Amino acid sequence: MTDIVSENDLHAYVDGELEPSRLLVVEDYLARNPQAAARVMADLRSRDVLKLALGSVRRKASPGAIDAAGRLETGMFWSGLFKRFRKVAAVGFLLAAGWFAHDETGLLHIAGSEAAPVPPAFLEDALQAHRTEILRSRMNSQSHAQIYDREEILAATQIEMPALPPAWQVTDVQVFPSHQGASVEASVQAGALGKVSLFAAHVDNKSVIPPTMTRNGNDTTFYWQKNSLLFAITGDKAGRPLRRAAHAIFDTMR
Amino acid sequence: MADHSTFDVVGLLGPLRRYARSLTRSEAQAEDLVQDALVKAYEKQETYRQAGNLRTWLFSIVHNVFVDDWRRREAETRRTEAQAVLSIDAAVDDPESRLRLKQILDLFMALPDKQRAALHLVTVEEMSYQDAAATLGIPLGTLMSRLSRARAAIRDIEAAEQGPARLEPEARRAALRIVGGKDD
Repeated sequence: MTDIVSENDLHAYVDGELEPSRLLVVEDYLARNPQAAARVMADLRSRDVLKLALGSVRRKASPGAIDAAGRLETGMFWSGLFKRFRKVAAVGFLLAAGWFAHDETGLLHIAGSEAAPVPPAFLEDALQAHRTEILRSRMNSQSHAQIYDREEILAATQIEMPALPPAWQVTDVQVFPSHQGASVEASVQAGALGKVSLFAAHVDNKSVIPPTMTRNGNDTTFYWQKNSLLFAITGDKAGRPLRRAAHAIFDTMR
Repeated sequence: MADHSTFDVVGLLGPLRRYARSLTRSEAQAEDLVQDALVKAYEKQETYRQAGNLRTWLFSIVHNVFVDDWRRREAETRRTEAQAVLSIDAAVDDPESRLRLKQILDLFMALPDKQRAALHLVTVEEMSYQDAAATLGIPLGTLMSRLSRARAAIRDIEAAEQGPARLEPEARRAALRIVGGKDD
């Protein structure tokens, strides 16, 4: 047993960092050394004062900090999930080549309009969100938020989501990291349309683009822009009913 | 929303903000520092895998952003802003205790940045020495030396400012100088 008590031992005593065996040695030492004991008492007191004075934060965190924390959380969650499921065939993520092909045919541009082209990254995000959601819906371990609280989404992401037809049932709402800050995906059981995803994200330029169709594999997407928000509705039931739904939603938006 | 509990960043906002407050000595700047750090963390998520501990990883990013980008800016406003943090409400009614609390807090805030950071992590966050050293990116010995000097400064100056006549016998003994660590 060592009897030599060091400066570090006294700090470790104050901070509760001592091994039980060492604790006895130090306590024995303090019992015989009032000067050291008083010093430890002073350190314990200042420790308690600092904990009391600095242990709490009064105000709520700023919206910016909450937003940044949420985005990081979501990002880490998804990058972990993507890593784990990268090899699952069901997650057939979009191949860049496919989109370049679209791009060359001018499908992603608004013909005869001066509106800026919709960034392919947005459509990529929308499709990824849709396909991930299909994957997620098959996983029991994933929790689902079935409340489509437009005000809360607006507060958290600055995205005003559209009102949906009353018969549609929102089965999940997710906030995603995307190329332009946070984006929102609502998963919807849309009657005859089956499972569709409504995706929304910020975009740099302000513009109005009416619902426009694009296809990838079995998935059909209608996207539109209102001011600086882009929306996309994606489903695997092709064509006209989805177009009607997209226009109906577009028309309800200011 | 998805269950992100494995990466409970939002749950760490409070501790991160109070650490940032001890670093910047200002409530308002602490908010900005934490936000900057979270943006930085988002950009370098892959470094989390090496760290493996969400708390020390985020604390170290707050610390690095403060040291790299922040301190220079902060130095300009230090004097005016320093008051803001000292108005912290603690549930202390007794005027004598309040005065004492304010004195110790003032001494803490007057410590050099490195010592203040070390003392905050160990005392307020109750980090283990190992975690605190990892957060600050320094060897254990350096952490102990900073801790030692921080505590010695608070002990000594507090005693000197109060004046020996006003000290109780126990505190007077505490005021006796004990050899501190060396500069790191």
